[in-house]
Amino acid sequence: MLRRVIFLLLFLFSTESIAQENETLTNRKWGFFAGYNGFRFGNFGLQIGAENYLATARNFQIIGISSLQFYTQKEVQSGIDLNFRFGQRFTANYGVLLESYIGLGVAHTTYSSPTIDFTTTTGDSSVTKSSKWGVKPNITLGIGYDFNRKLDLSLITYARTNISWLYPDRNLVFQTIPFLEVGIVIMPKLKQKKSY
Amino acid sequence: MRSTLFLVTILMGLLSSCTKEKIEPTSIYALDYDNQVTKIEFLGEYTSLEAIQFLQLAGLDAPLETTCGFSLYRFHYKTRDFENKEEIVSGLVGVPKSSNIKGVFSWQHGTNTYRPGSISTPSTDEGIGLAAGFAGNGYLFVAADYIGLGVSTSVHPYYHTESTVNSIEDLIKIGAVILKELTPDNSNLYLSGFSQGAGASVATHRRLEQFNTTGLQIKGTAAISGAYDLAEVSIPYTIEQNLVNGVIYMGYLANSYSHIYNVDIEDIIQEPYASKIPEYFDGTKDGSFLESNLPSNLQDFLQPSFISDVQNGVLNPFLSYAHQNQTYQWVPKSPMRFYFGSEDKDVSPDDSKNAFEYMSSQGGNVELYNLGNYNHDQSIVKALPHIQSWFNQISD
Repeated sequence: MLRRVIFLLLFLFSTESIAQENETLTNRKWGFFAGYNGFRFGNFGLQIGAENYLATARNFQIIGISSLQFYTQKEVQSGIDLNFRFGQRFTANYGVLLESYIGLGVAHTTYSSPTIDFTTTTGDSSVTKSSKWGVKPNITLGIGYDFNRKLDLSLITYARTNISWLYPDRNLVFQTIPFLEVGIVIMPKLKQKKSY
Repeated sequence: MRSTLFLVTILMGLLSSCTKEKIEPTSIYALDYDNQVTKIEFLGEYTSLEAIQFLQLAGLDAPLETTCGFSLYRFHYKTRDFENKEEIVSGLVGVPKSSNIKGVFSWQHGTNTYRPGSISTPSTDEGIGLAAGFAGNGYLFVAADYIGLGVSTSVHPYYHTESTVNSIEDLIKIGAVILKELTPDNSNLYLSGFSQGAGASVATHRRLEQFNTTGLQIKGTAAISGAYDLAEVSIPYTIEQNLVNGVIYMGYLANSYSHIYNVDIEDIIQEPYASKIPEYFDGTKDGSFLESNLPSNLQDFLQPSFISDVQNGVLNPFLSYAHQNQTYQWVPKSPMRFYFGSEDKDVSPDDSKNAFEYMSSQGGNVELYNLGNYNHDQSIVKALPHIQSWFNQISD
């Protein structure tokens, strides 16, 4: 497994020497993204956000991300959180990209407690809900494809795995929550200033 | 690069942990509990990865094995109090997300004076930590709050064996219903407890060997740092050593026996504390409140005549009732282990040694384990990995 990862990274770096210079890269300052945000992978959620390209080289970018995301797991919990991430993205010249981030979010989680009261003749069932604010440090690893490298299309697709530690949860302990994020980033090109 | 590989490894672990077979929360609600359950509340669910992290935070010396995630519920159920009247109590139930459950594991908690800190209000210290170690290892975890704690607002019958065992046995029956549904061919029962709960575990074992209404077979009982003989060992040790928590233990016991046996609290405890005992031990005061409002010295708390009776071996009514609630003078057939820390300053190590010696002299199936130079609270942390390992060995 380790050897495969090393070979993959060597291959990605080697492509740099045969790459063509892409002059549009440094014109990008912002990207806007939207996508699926799967709580514990399989439970539905959505995310939207913006990424700010703090520094850009031919194959590397330093990125700050702000995102708003929500998720829901039936009969267990749902949540919405505002998340800030900081990280890096390596993009090979043919478009494949790898990215990693660390982040911190603030989350508002609503917990469901399905309850059945058998003291009534019908056995009343109800769902008690309680909400709690929490902090959510997280790390993210992702892969994707930057269409701008080979096509004139300011679009990135991504698939990320995020691990968030939510504290406190309903029982005042932390939850370790994996998320699957799949979506697209659109990067508007800045207008070039005319030179006289 | 190394950090990236580390993260990839974690992510792969997360992926694999999420592919375990799941038991849906709603399936628990539909079972037939023979009208003994009055309410079921879902308290959350945790993955095996979270279970591992909870146990890491607990600072265990040896690892507790975790194999699956688990869901937590608070069950409200019927039991019988010291007057044989029906009482609604509560308990924590941890259901492993596994289709191959090893049996019912019944945990009996230690002394707790504070109702909001009941085990069915789970915390990493007790409810969730223990559920992580045992429900997270494939056991159906049950832990009774006992009468007077959890949803019950009665006086807690501290060291009243009969009513305490009632509340434990009735929750085990509920566990048996869930076990039968999830793993029908398994009927194993494992008992374990700490301090007050160790005595309760041994007493539950005794009850079930005499008259088993649970339909389960006891595979083993692990009792950690328990007080099994209050009159002859525990109370004399508390007074002789002037134990730090002795005031709380004696105040709690006086309140309980006053309520159950009509013992006069003033015969045991001095004023101005005697008249405050019912209020202080009504389930709304935590340990820090009691420490700051009760004297630290037992000589300033207990009546001199009571201390004299204890020191001279006089079996006054209070000590006579304490003796009635001993839990060691019988002979277990199923395996039982006593664990203790030799530096225990809350419960005498002699309690475990005497119980072991009595039972083994009568041919009982018992073993004694000295965990080493550890105090009362440390002994639970040291014992749990041994207990999980032992139960895993004897599970079919």
